[in-house]
Amino acid sequence: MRMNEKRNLQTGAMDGLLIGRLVDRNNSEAHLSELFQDSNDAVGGKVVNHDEALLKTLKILQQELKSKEQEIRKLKEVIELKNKNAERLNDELISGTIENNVLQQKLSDLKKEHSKLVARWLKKTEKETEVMNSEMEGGR
Amino acid sequence: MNDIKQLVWDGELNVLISIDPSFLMKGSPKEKTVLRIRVPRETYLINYMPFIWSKIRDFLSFDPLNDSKKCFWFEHNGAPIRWNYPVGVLFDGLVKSSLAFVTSSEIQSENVITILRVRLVMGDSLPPTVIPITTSKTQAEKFWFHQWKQVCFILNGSSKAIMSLSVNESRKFWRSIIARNLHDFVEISNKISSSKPRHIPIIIQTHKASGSFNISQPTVRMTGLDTTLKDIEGDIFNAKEEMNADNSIIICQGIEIPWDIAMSDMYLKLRSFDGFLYITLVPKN
Repeated sequence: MRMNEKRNLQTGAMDGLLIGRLVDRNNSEAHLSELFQDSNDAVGGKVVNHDEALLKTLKILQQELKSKEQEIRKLKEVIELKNKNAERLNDELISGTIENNVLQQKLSDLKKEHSKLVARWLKKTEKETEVMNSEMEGGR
Repeated sequence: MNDIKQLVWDGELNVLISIDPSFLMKGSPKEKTVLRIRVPRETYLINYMPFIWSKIRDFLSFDPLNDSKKCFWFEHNGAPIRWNYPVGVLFDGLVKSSLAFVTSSEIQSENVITILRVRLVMGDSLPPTVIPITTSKTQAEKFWFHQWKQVCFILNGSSKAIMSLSVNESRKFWRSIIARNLHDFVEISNKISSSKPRHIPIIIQTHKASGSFNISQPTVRMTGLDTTLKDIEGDIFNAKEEMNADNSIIICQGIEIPWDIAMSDMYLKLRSFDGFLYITLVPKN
């Protein structure tokens, strides 16, 4: 019996504490609530009335916007592909230039070698001519 | 008990919903991107979706009800919000300082205004842990009823009580949430819950340093009428977490709860509208 009484007293005190805190909570959370719209009309799908004609136009415009957005997306893809192609072409051009440079170098090296050989050959022929000339002069 | 239930039921928050500009057509008036509404703590955010759409409908760049390619969700400071928890629970979880729950009128400054700031954003895919918001009008209702089925099973060990509700009663139950009718809500919820529950359906959210939440749903077995919050301390605090009874306070329904409160009493008085008892652990300052 006493246990029950004690428990009831405790529960009563606890309820008082909770009520006090909840009242404080509700008061503090309601502070300046007039700046916020009351929610009673907001919930449960109650919607603001709109002009039907305007809504129709809006729907058409939304559709148009959607198709335009799709078009933009497609065009962007096309641009991306073209950019890739241009990039590939650029790469080819660069590799062509490099190849050209290498070949030019090789050509100039070969030309040099050629002129050297010609010079050596001329020298050699000159020497041979001289020898031949001196032999002929000695024979006379 | 009824006074407490009434106070819990009457709790409302100032909610500021900002709409991401990507929803609207270019050149839409800026004031249309912000909605200010009073929202009961005991409801879901998505119950306000029709209202939000109707407010910005004239400026939307797409039709949200028919364009299924786009996903949208709520965010707070860049972190996604789970709409499947009651608004009050979301708010309690987002308040970082325990000072915000000191309700003494001396400390409350006159110019302090409590606001829950959320942002409606859009993307091609949903962030993880967020349940998609569908265009179905009954999404919230179905989810909520499923929560009650879980609650019924945890409380009684079977879902018989909720499954034997008539269609009319089920409808009345949900209407009580929409129409804010506490009398109907208590009448039907009492049919589902017993006065001597076997287990308590409890959900605990804990703040993490990273700003995210840790949600746990421990099994709290009722061994007697006198089981207090202190007795289940071990269930509330995870051994791995840094939080304990000394460095954190227990928040339920936006108020600090003393440790010596009886669990069954606390559950029946402070449970949320989906039948669960939500507890938020907030670090002490």
